[in-house]
Amino acid sequence: MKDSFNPSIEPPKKTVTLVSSDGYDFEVEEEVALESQVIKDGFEDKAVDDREYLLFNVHSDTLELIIKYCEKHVSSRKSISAAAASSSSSNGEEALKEWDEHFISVDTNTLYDILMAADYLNIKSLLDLAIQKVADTIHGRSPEQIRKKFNIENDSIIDPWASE
Amino acid sequence: MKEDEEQEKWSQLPTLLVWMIKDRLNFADTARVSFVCKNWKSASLSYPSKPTQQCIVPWLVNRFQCSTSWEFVNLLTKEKLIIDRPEFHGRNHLLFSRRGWLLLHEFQITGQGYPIVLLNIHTNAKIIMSGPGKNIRGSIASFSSSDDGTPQHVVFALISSNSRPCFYIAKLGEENWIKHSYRNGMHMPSPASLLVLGHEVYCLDMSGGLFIFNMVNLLWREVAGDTGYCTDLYQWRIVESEEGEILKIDRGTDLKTFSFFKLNDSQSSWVELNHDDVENRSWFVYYQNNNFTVKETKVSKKVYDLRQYVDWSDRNVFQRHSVNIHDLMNGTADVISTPHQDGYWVDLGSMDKVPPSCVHLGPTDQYKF
Repeated sequence: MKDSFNPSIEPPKKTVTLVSSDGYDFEVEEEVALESQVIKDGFEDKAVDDREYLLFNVHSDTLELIIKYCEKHVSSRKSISAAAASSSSSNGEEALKEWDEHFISVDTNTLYDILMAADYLNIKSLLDLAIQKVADTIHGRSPEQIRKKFNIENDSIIDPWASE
Repeated sequence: MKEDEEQEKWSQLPTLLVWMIKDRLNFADTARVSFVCKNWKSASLSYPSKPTQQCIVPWLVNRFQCSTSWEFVNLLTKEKLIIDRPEFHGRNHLLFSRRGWLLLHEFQITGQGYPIVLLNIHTNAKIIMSGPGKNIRGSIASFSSSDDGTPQHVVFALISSNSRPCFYIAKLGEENWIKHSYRNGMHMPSPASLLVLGHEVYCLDMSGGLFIFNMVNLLWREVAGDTGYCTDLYQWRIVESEEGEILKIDRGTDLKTFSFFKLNDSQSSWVELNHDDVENRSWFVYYQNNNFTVKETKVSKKVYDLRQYVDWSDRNVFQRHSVNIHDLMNGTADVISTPHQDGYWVDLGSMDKVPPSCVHLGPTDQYKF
């Protein structure tokens, strides 16, 4: 009876290795890596003993965040569907939304790295989250305020809202 | 990371990502994005705008007697837009608007008089034609549009001396106005609301009766009002839906119990709209022929009722405008007071770019929401 709850008897999870642009290895569960559409697309063609991905465009600092995001989403999806199956009430989606909001509340520098990595790895929900964050930051701001916020040099021509 | 590299980052954002960001912004924000840096500017120039995805909400305009600048406010996005055009002088009346085209009628001029101006605020295209005549001062006017939005026929609705409906119609490009009056049928107390769709002119009179005139076969039809004679000019309006249906707004005798109807396919009677039909609609109404309906705004099932009132609060008496917002869902009403003596709903069409004569664009702060 007790044994049936022992996690040690579960089959070992399949893992893949993600290698960051600065040469760090990250071993993650297969289903976490498959959150990336790019990895998923080529997954079947890869040999089982060659589950290593070199991510030339993603720095280890960013990759760590991306993995954290994917792990959270995989585990919440499971608990949401489990709650739905047992028809017990759950505020899982609400909680995940809150988690997302907290996750993406980063400085614009990190936001840029997450945005580019989400685009490169094609993780749609994360890309949406990052794009929305950029849009929210831009909303209601003048070009000068946007430049300041995103650390952009003013190389442009005339600015009709300069006096605003 | 090096300072320079950080500087470069956001300005080097790939075009596709700039587009995705713009997709999530309102038009004033996207306009400002274009001025941030050269790369964002060039991404903005190639941005494929999606007018069909945008909901087109009428703007509240404030016109000034002594200025050619008109101030437009979008009550939903709370954006303010000021457009300066020489045509916006105090002698020009705004009679109708549809998809960025404004119908202006000059009402005092010496010599040959009363020209009509059709102006497109997005392209500054302008059509000038002579008015229907010196004695025709009707303010109920409208026009039909071709598929690309260009005005086709301009129609003025008047009341003839024997209380019969009478339309003055001119086709654009042909200067002559043709008078069409209806000799038989119902009396028409006074025209209240006018629409021109395709070849048909729809005119609702103040007692709720509808007159339909076909400009091709010159035949008239009538649809009787659902109640008897009513002296109130404000109770019924007709508006067009995005799909070209003719919808009727009944404000009830208390002017705040709303019900909505659709002209049936055979154009013989009105059918009340059911819950689903009005579910995602908002309505914008004002005096006479200034009414709109919009689908899929984020604040559906509301009536924005623009009203003129006299402000006695100061020693000087002012005419002012306020917008009563009736929430059809829960029956509550809210009021937005505007600081202006003037007010009118204007359909500026889809706002994916800043109009060329725009002199200011930004959030509004004068309205008490």
